[in-house]
Amino acid sequence: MATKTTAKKATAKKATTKKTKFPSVAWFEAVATITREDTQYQKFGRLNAVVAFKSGNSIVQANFDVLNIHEIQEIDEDEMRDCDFIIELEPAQWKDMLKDIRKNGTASLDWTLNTLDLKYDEPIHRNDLEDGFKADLFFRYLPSLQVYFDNSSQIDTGY
Amino acid sequence: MAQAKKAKAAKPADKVDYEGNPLPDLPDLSWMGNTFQWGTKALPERYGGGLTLAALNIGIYGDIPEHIPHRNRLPRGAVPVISAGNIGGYYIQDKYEQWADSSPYLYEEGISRRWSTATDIPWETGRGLSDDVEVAIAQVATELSNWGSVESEVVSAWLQNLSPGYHEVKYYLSTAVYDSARIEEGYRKRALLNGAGMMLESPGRMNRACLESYGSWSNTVLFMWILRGSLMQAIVRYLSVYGPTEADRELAFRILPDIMRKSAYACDHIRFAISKKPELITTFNAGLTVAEFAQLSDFNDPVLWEALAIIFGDGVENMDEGMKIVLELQQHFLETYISKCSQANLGREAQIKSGAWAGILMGVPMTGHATPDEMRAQVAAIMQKNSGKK
Repeated sequence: MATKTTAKKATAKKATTKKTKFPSVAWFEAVATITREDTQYQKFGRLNAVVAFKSGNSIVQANFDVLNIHEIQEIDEDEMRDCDFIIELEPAQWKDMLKDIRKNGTASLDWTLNTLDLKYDEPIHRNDLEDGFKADLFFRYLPSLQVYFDNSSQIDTGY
Repeated sequence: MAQAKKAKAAKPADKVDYEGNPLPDLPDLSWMGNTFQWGTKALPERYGGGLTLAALNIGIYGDIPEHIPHRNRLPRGAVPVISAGNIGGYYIQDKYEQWADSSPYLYEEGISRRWSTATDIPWETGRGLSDDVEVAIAQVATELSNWGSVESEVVSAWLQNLSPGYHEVKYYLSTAVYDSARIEEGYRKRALLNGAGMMLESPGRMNRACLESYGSWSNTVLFMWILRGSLMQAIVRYLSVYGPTEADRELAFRILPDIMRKSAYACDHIRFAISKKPELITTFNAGLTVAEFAQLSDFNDPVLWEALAIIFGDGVENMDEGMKIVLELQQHFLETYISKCSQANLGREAQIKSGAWAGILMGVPMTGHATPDEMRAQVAAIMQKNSGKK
């Protein structure tokens, strides 16, 4: 029994030290698993949006469906039109944002989605068909989306 | 004896209600057959969504008519009774005058994403500002609180005129009243947090435009949630990033989604109204032209802009730097307004870019300090400079 417990601990340690590559479906799944159980995320309430996250040529889509986050998958550029909105950053910007979150536990003021969207020359979010109603879902769900990315502080991200 | 027999025979008819109508022998359960559709079974959503308003719109209950003929409280889908009559009020009886497809979803979202300024804001972080910045944020808080108050009262006043047949709209607007009240009380709390207190109320021309938009509910929506809502969105967004304390940033950050639901209803409703009555484009544009003058007039009051410049510049000394961010905010407001009008299928871009607002887009902030001639001169100088660059 003792051996089994030790083995379990060792496996857990190994799992936590293994880096999860960003961007990847596995990374978004790992953060979704943490976020679904997050009481703050649940308290922020329901959302309904299919969101694409774009970093360089990599695009991962996730369905924020009431309090679930599922249907996480890679998509092609021309599939982004079916998403409610897209959040796009340069790979280096994603990296800096996630490193800041990892360091502080949550995004510091300069690295929140809200700040980046306001301060960059172009907003970081958009709807590919210029549907303003869908693009504005970004603002309706910002607190929830920030919790989602803040939860990435709990996983070891590789780039 | 004959009389007694007659009385006995008439006994059932003696059971009358207070209006003299005969009452049936009990139990009379004939009412149990009065429904327009049996077997309606609404299903709860998955993933914790529960039984939502939208999920009830099935069978005949999903039929949302273009016109509600009853001016009373008949719930949509219920069987009318003659005695209810028409009780007046509820004169907005057409779907195009109030409907938005997003209403039931916005209602559920508003309820689910409710929050409290009392306990969800880290008020203890809102201390330690210099006196000038504290007074400035209290001034901005006073004006935002004032706007929130106007919103909640305007919507409350209109609610009694909207037909209950479109209950999804009334439910959503009830949450919007609460959202607006939260802006009012949240910023009142902010003003009273550190001793500055409530400052100057806003100039009030745009408040009056919202309060006195009697023409139609749609006009009110345009003035309050598309025009002034765009300005409120811009100010709150900038406070959520450039607010002087964490409490200020968090308060603005939490209010932003509430504002965006109102914007969503507004754009969706106006788009729907135009889809049913394209001729309304002319009416709506005429109304907006008038409301824009009221908004422009408020813009010429320097108090709000000076207060924001002090906040963004972190003190009176750096107001000039702060004013650069105020210019960005004003430009952001106009871009947001143009975008919302486009969402609603109203094109206002040409009017905004060629009218009195154009100076802001060209880089001249409207601060209430320059005369129109001085502003025109500043715009001309920018145009000359730009043409020189080419």
